[in-house]
Amino acid sequence: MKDAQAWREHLKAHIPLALAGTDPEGVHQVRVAARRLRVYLDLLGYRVLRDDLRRLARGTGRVRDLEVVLGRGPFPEGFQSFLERELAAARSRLPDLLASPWTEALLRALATLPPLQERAAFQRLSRLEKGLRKRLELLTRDPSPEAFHAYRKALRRLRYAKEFLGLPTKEEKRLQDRLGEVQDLEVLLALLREYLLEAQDGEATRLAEALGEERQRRLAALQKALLGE
Amino acid sequence: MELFLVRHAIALPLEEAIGGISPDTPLDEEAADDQRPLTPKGVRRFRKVVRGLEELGVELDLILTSPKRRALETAELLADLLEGEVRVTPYLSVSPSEALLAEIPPQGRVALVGHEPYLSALLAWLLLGDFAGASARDVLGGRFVLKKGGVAWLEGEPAPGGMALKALFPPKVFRL
Repeated sequence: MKDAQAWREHLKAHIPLALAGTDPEGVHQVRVAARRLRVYLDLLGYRVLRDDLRRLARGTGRVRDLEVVLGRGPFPEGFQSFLERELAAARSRLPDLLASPWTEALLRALATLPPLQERAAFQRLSRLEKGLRKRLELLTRDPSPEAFHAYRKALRRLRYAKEFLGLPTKEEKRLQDRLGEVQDLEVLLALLREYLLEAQDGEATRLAEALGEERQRRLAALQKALLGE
Repeated sequence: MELFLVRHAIALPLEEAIGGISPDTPLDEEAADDQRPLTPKGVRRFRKVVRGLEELGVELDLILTSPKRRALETAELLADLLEGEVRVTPYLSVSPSEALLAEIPPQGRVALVGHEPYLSALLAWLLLGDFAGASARDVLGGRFVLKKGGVAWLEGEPAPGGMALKALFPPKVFRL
């Protein structure tokens, strides 16, 4: 189990790899560390540094999406070129974020985070559990891709929080993996739509239709698993 | 725009903050200084400052804070007045610079949480500009004293000589 300082070190260690762009794990692990540290702030009851960590996660999101999708390829030629072009453009923006004095300041600030006060942290964990139940209720009323996404994020927050507190998370992890597969499909479909806005490509259009159907099947299976329908 | 320069509240002295460290351990003084938390008295007193500002109708769109723990903890308390973002910046733990001014949006209500003597130097720079030369900035800063937990309230354009002082609050006034 890693504490906040271990995740700070994890973040710091993966920034050079993310900047080098030689291994998708670089950006992925920067995002994992940023999200885990945000949950640590939740447990700490801190408002500060949350927006900074969100900025870090958002600023690396485009690269991560493109790297995940490219990892599922190869795709029809035009779409593949589009993805590679977009990845190069997104990567070219990373140094402004990750190699900036702001990132140095963020790492410096994270180094000062105090340890958790167990009692208060468990009370805040209850809030995260309540938040997840609320997301599930919303999902029951409206099983849209957005509701699944919100549920997935709440589930991830709860899992990370439990891990900080040394609690088992096997069930959360299993569910998160299933929800993650649907989210990966969502991202792929969104990028395909983006590509099809600028290109007429029959092969890519057929791929989008097939993936759309696959997404519906997976959402239905997930709905059944989550809501018992 | 409105700008609030806020000096961190009372913090543990460096000697006490590093008290638990063995004398044989090599000490990175800046890293140790970064770790200084607010004292319970500092928290209590600064809560009163926040309440006082709230009673004056102060609301904030953005808080920029130094990465040192005592500034972060002060910003955390100040966040009760916040309707927007909190962001850490490296430029509040060093002498004021153009890089710091570039981080301040031209509109809105922004608080900067930092340290002395930098905040006083910034205050002098924003009020008086560079008419006496950049080297005089720190000396002029000494004319505007910001106590721990103190607040300077400025209005205008966040550029050298572009702001007017609306109020300079020692924390004591909020305890009266």
